[in-house]
Amino acid sequence: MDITFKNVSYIYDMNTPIANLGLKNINLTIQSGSYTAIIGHTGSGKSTLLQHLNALLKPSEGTVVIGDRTITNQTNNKNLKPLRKQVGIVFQFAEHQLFEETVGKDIAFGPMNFGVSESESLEIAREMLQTVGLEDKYFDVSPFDLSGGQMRRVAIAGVLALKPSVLVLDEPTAGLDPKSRREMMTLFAQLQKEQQLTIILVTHQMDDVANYADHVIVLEKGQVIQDTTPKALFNQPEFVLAHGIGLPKATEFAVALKAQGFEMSELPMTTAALIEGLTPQLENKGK
Amino acid sequence: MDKMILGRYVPGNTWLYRLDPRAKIVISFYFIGIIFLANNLWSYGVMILFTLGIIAFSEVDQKFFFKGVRPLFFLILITVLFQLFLTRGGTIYWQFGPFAISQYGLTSSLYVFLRFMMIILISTLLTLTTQPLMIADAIEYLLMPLKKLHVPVDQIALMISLALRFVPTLMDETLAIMNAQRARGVDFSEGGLFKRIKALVPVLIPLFVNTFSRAGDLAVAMESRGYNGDAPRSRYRVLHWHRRDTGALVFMAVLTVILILVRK
Repeated sequence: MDITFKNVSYIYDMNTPIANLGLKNINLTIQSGSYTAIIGHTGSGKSTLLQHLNALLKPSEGTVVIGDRTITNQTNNKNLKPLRKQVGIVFQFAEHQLFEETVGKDIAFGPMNFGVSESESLEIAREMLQTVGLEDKYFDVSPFDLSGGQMRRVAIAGVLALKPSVLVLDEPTAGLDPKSRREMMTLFAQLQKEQQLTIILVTHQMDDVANYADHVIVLEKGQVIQDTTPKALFNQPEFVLAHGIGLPKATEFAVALKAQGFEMSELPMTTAALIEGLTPQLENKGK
Repeated sequence: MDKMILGRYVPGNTWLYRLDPRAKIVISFYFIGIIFLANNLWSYGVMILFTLGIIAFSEVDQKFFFKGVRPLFFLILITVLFQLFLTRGGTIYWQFGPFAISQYGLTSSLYVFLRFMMIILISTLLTLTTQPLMIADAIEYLLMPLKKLHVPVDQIALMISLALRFVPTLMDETLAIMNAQRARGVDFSEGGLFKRIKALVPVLIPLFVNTFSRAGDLAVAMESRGYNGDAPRSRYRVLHWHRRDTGALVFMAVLTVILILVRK
C-alpha cells in the first residue's frame, strides 16, 4: 500500500487570528514494504504529518493518497474506519491510551472496534502480548499496575492487534531502558521483514535511522528538506550538522577520524561498517 | 471545539490588552452589576452601545469574535424560551396549558436575552485580551483585603493559577488521547447518544489517571524546590496601575450616571 502526499499543506486554526502553518507543500511517496524514518526538530511538523497518514487530520490543501483511498479537505469523516484499520499508529507516550480493566481487554479493544468477535480479539491479544515480549501472566493484570516500560509494550500490542499493513511509530522507544529499546526496535524490523509491513518511524535516534531505515525524510519548519536514503543523508555530514540533526555514532567517529587523516571513501553508518573500513588501514600502519 | 472562544486568550497588543487586568476584572464585574439597572429601552440602548463600542474599539477580529460566541447564543436562547413561555402579565397573546405568550413575557425575555448576551460578550472580551495568569494575578491582588479575615488568599491564587495553567495542557492531552483511540477504531461521531457517551470512557479514564499522576509530580516538584504556601513571596510579574486604568474606571462611573438618568 503506497502512500503519496501531493502538494499537502496543513494550517492549524485556519481562519482565526492564531492560524499557524503545520505543513507546507509536502510532496513525498512512501513505498509499500519500506522502512521510512522521519526526522526533524520538535515543531518541524513530524507529528502533523503522521496524523495525515490515517486521516486524523485532513490536508488544508493538496491530497494524500493511501492505498486506494484519496484524502482531501473535502473527505467526509464517515467511513474512515477501513483506512484506520490498515494504518496503525503508535503515538508518543502510547501508554497514556490504556484504560481497560485488564491488559488483555485493552489489547483486544482495537480489534473489537473493527468488528472482530470478543473471543477472537482476546485470542489475538494473547498472541500480541507474547509478540511484544510480555509473559502471559500479565494478561489479567490491570495495565495501571505495570511499569512504564511494560505499559508501553501493552500499548504497542494494542496497535499491532489491529493487524495493520502500515505501522506508524512516533518515538516508540523514548524513555525506555536500553534493553527494551533494542527489543522493540528488533521487533519492528522483524515485522517489516516477515510480514512485509510498511514501517514509518519518527525518531531522534540517528543510530536507529542508520540501522533500520531504508528511506529517510527530513522535515524542517513544515517542509521536506531531504528525501533520500540514510546512507546518502549521513554522507553529507555538513548538511546534517548545519540543520542540527546529528549523526549516527559510527559516522560521527568516522568524521573525526577523517579529519585526522584516515581515508574514508564513504562514511560508515554502523559500527560494523566502520570496523570494516578501518581494519585494513590500521593493519597497513602496523607494518 | 476549535471555534469556541469562551475563556480563550488570543495574543495581541491593543489598548484593551494593555489595560491593567485588575481594571479589566473590576470593570467586567461592575458591568455585570449595573446591567441590572437597565429597565427600559433607552437604558438597554445605552448598554448595548457601550458593549458594541468596546468591541469595535478593542480591535479584536470581529468576525472571529462573533463566530466564537455563536455556540453560546443557542444556550441563551433556551433560557429565553423558558422566560417567554412561563412569564405571565399584561395582555396574553397565546395560551396552551401552562404555556403562554404575554406582553410581560415578551419584554422580560427580550431583556433577559440582551442581558445574557452582553455579559457573555464582555466576559469573552476580558478573557480574550487578558492572559490567564494575569487574571489570576489580578484576582490575587483584588482578594488581598480578605487576608485580614484569615482567608487563605495565597493558596486560592495558587489554585487558580494552577487550574488555569493546566487548561491548555489538558486540552492537548484530551486531543492526543482521542486521536490514539480514534486510531484504534473509536468513532466519536457515530451512533446514538448512549453509544457516543460510551465512546468517551476510553478518553476519560486515561485523562483522569494522567491528571492525578501529574498533580502528584507537580506537588513533588514544588516541594523539592522548597515551596511553602505560607511564606511571604515576591512576585515575578508586577502589575502597574496607569492613568489609563483610572480613566477606564471614571468612564464606567460616567456610564452609570447616564444609565441612572435614562432609566425609568
